Amino acid sequence: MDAAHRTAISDALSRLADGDRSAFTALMTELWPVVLAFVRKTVREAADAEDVAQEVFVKVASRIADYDRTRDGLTWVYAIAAFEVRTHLRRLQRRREAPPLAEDAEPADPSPSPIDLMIDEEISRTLVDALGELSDADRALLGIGERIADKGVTSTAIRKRRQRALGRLRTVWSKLYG
Amino acid sequence: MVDQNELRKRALRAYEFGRLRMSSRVLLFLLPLGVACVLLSDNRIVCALLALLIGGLAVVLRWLHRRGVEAVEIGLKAGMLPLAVSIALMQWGHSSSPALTISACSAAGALAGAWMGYQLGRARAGIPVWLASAIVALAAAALGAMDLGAGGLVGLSASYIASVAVAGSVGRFRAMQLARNG
Repeated sequence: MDAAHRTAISDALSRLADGDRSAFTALMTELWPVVLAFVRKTVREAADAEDVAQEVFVKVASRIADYDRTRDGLTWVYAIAAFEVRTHLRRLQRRREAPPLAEDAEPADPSPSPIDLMIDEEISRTLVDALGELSDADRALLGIGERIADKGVTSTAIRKRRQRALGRLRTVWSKLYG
Repeated sequence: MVDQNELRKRALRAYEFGRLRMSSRVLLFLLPLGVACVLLSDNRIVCALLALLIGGLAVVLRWLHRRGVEAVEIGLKAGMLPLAVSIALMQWGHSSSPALTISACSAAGALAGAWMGYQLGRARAGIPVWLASAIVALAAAALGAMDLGAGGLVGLSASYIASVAVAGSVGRFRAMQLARNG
């Protein structure tokens, strides 16, 4: 998704949070396909995915009055969508659950669920964005990108520089994502 | 296939309910205040009606637009000083002295009006926000000043309106000066 699309979604959410009802059409056009695509990635059944996507969209609409315009709109929407999808998957799992079996029952699958993978992907993307704001030297100190020659520098100095680079990464992160 | 029209209707309904829920939060502050004023007042029915009017007005203004949220916030803040002064006058038994009542109410009204006018002037608020804030502030002040008689109410309102006008002009002038200086 490009930056213009993200901005358009945030803009429509901000206008609606202000009480401008005319932004609803823009929200519907910009956000509905995004929500549907997000839910389809995690819910396999097409009919179920559409139902869940509708629930997500209605939930987003009902919470717009509390939307904080300083935050990224799409991240806010994804948080609501992830919660709804997780609730749906849990409900499905409960429905499918067989009555308790003997000791030979299979243990629960320890691998991450599709929704966890999607959230990890979103976090990785935001981390890459935050790292992009750092200088080459800071990135090198954090073990990303090309290593800069550090002849004659003690290990203590390198550790301290790394700590400072981490501090700057924290500042950039909180500036970008609150 | 998703029926987009049906979804739009559902989402719009949910949106309006969401706004109503957000705007009703002001009642958490106004309800206890209204109950306290009704209990302290001699004229309970009129006071209760006025409290209901303020509650309804605050919820509707907040529901309509963000500017309504700001207007209610500023109006309520501005109305608190005259309200507190009126209640104090009543409780300490000074309401029998018309001169003291009128001067105290006028002073409180002037201070509240000056503060509100300056805030709205600086924010370069539009006429609807001015009107909404003034109505909320005066209604909140009247909640306490009702038992003080017509003199107190008139003094409060007149000084309030006069100081709002003066402070509003000053605030607007300052905002324009700041904008011009960059």
